[in-house]
Amino acid sequence: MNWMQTVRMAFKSILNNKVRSILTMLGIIIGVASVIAIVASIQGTSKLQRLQYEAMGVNRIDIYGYGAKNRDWQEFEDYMTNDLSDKIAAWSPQSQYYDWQNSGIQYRAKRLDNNDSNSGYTYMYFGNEHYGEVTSHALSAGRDISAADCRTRARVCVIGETLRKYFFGAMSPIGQKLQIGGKGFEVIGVYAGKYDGKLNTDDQMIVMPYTLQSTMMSVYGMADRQYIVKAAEKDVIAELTDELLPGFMQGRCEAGNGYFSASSDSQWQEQSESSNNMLALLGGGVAGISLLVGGIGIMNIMLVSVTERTREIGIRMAIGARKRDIIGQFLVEASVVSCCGGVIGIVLGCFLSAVLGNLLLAKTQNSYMPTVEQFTVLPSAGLVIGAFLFSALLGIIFGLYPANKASNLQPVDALRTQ
Amino acid sequence: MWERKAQTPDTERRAELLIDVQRMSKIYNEGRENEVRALDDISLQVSWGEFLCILGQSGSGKSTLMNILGCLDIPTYGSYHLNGQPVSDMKPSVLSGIRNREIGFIFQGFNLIPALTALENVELPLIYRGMPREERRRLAQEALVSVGLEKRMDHRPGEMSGGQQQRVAIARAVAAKPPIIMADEPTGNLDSASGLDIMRKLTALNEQGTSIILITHDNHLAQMAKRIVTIQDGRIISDTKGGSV
Repeated sequence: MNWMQTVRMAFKSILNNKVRSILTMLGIIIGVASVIAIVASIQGTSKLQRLQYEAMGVNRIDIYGYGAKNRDWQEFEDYMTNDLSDKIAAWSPQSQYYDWQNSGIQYRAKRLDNNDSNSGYTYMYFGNEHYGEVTSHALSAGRDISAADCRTRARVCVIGETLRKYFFGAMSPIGQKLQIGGKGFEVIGVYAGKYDGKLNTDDQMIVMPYTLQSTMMSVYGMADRQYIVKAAEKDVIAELTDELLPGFMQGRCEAGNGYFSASSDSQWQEQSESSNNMLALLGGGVAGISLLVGGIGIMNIMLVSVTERTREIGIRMAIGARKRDIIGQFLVEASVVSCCGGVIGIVLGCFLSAVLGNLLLAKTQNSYMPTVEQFTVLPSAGLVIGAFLFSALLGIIFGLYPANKASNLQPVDALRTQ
Repeated sequence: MWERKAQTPDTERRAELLIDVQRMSKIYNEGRENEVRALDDISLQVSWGEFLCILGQSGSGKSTLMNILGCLDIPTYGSYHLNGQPVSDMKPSVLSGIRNREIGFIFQGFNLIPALTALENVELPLIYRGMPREERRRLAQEALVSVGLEKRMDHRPGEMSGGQQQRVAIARAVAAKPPIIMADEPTGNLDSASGLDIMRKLTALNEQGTSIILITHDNHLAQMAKRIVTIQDGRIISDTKGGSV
């Protein structure tokens, strides 16, 4: 007898006992669904956090400093450009301001005030031609600030998606003049909302050439030195933040009450990822126990089925079924039940993780993180395949004993049963 | 692992005797107080093409004899050769193969699988033989047509009368054209008209060359066989020619 025939027979016998088969599957269904929902939700949280970190800049190092001379900072910049070129992909100054004097931003008659309760603060950043790269911003229109803009102190700016919508709506912003702090700036580019707008990061922003910082100082006041550095790869982040960068600036910021710091979120990221993995293992393990209980349920029903069908087994043996044919029949039946349960459980689990997972996410949103819209938690392919294989394995393991029991029946005795 | 080589009934290779039983005994609980000698030192030879009836009252040991002749059970002592093959000391899996290839069974209680249709029941032994789908379907349909059930192929046993069910069982027994058919009280659960119909079918099969072994307690029915072996208390007490019908 071949496999296809055995599987067809198994399906037939399952369809003959629909209610019982579904009740038997229920244990597997619940087990698989809960494993998938729990693990997928935790993995989803983890993935979301990673997206949030990456939205702020991949391999990003933040540098703050105060108390060093301009000449020291100039040497620091040269050091990064010349000596660390293999460890640093790009860097940009980032001086961050918000409009605390409420001088406003204006396009023609339309004005955005910081004390307008409907809008949040608009942040101004002063950066160089690498600003978009180090902060993982992609242009949706126009161009980035160029090195030439910085050199010539051009009065240009790149605006975020939120401001584009507010001021320009359907019309093209490129080439339009914005009044910022009473000075005119030409809009040369727009940064897209991140991750197709799913991650609603700080899009209410304006980026200007860093050489204009002194021009705007009358509006916004002095600020500490800040840089954003994009490390060439994850592995060199610790070396940069712990040794090289502070090593170079050591002593230069120490005069008076100066300070220097270089920090990265990457350690945080790794920690939270590993704790999430632990949580997924734990939750998945607990749900796995219910899967085990489901497997025992299958064994129980298969044993009942063997007893009920003793006569059928006798008939099959009388007309030529061998021991292994009978074992095959019951094993395949148990596996088909558990695999069907597995498939239904997977569908249910995907549904649960999409619904419950996102409710959970909404509750655990970190207020320091950018908020997220329309992020859907779905189990990974590996998780789905793993759950299916495990339920198939359960069917085989828990089908073995009943199948063996059936095959050990003596044909004469089995035929005598009524 | 579940593959079995397709084999056509090996009716070409014939030993001299179809059945050769020498000094066979079947003893239950041997050596204990409740020892039962179901069969006691039986010797029996059956040639090809015979229509043999084993006649005996309930408890005479005829069912035990039928189970052993049908390779469903093994004797305690003695030897049994079926078509020249020594059956007494074969492994269960080999016995399954012999039952599948050499013997067609017809039981008193029909013994059809209730969940399967008539056609599927008839196909079952062919499936275990590993026959390809089209071929076994054709053979099964032919067998059902030959017992006059061409309109009942998709019916389940529960939807048929006793006579029809027993005809399905006959179709199942003959589908693979085995050299020997064993019928254990085939008319026991049927009214006399249906019973007569079944007996006619068996007689016709015998005329086509199939060896038949009929087990019954009914002296009248036994007269339809060519040879009658009467068994009592586990021993053969007579071996006579039957009245031809």
